[in-house]
Amino acid sequence: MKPYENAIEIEHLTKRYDGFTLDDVSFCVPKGSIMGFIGQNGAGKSTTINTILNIIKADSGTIRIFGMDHLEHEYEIKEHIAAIFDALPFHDQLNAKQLNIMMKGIYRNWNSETFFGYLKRLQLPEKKKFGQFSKGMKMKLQIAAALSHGAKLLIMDEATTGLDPVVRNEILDIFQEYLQDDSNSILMSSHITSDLDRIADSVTFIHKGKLLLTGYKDEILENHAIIKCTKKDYADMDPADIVSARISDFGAEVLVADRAACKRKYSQLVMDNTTLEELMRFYVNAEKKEWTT
Amino acid sequence: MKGLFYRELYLQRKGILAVIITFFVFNLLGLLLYLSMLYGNLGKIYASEEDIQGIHSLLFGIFTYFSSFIIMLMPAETFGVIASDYAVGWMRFQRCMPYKPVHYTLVKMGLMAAELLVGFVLAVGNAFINRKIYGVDMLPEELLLPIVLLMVLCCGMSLLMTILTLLTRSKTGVAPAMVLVALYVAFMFLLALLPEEVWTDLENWFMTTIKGDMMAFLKKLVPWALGIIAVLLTGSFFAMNALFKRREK
Repeated sequence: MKPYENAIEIEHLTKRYDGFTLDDVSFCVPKGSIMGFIGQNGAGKSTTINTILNIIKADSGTIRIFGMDHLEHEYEIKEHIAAIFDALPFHDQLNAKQLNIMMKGIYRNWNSETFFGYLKRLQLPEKKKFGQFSKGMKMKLQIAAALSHGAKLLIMDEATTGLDPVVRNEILDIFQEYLQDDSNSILMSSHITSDLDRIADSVTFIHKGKLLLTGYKDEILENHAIIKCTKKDYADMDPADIVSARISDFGAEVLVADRAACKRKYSQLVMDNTTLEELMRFYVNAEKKEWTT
Repeated sequence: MKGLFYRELYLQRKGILAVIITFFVFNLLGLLLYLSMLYGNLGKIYASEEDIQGIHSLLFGIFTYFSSFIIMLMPAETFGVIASDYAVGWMRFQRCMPYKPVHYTLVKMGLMAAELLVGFVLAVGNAFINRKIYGVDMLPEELLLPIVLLMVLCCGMSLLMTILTLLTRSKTGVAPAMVLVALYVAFMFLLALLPEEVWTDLENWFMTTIKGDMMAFLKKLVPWALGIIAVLLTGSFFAMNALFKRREK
């Protein structure tokens, strides 16, 4: 593969369905980083991932993976990609030993030692049929398989949904180890923002098919702030500064997108840090401007 | 691609084994019936040699050609696997692997063709063995003609099932094969209920249509049969390839 800067480059991606449009989405996943792809259910995360993997055909836009067009070099790219979905795509009758034989004959770079090493580490049985695995075991198995053929890019679609916190932490630790190699990258879609708070380098926030935010996570969190004030103070604020405001009987919590400017403008008001989850809640309600819990 | 072949064979193994065991058990049943005819209770029911000879021919026909039909249903197992491929999400996962749709098609069709060939060889071997056992006087080409025609039928079923799978996104699986078998059995049952005069009229009409010589008629079909098998398998290949090329909506 030729040298590249971004593992994934998406430009003006559009996909139309009846009642939903993924509209002009553009973002990049820098090489060696993990991008959290967040949004509500039905926001367009899976649609975006499916177009990246060419499971569905985009209506317009370009997608480049490892600097190569994802359609022109599809099969070359897929030798170095691993996809992880929310359900195990292997038949219930198979077990890990058979999966190893199968994958050895599918991927050129399959490493059985690595695979069985992950199985041991994740305490997965080699001879038990997948039909008898729990949801957490199935997800761990998918990850073990994904990391055993030298993939340079992991693409995960809601892979940690439905898992208990212990298993999720185990999996996130493995991803952090995976990223020790600077040439590895991860695109991880999730609505569990606490996972992304912990692990993501950058985030892309999508809502109703439209891109709301994309960029480095720390920068985004640094630029945003929640102002806690009275309703009167809220009424005195410039609407252009406000993303949305949560109104309660006790006052208002206002999300602003330019912390530095608002700090100067509203120096008397209390300004708190925000989290990805709160960002998501405020941005989802941005059309309404004012909302209550 | 070795891994794909291994997977396909592994997932079909129970179905293939079931068909092969059914084939042998069915033939064993025929043999037991025949032994009962010769030395046991069934032989006491029939008075004349002519009746017994008639039963021998009937047993030979059923246990040779119906069992040939059974063994040549092995390729239907492929559609059961395709149905479960959709159910577990393997069809989606395949799109993430470094293989073109034609590779998946080659694996499925290759295995189907191998199963058809194995089924044909077993059916032919069975026919020759049964000819010896039941003492039926038939030339080899007369013995094989119905088997070749059954192979045409099975290839036709394979194409039909591929098209149905393509159109319904595999919600049908092996159901079309089962429906066809059920229709065949129902048809035979209904025929058996027809009055004797109707049978005679049908037989006369059929013999007039083929100008009296059944074997000569079937022999004319054989070169066409081989060509038809090639066309049907080619059609199945392209339909299967269209199935794997098609993306989700």
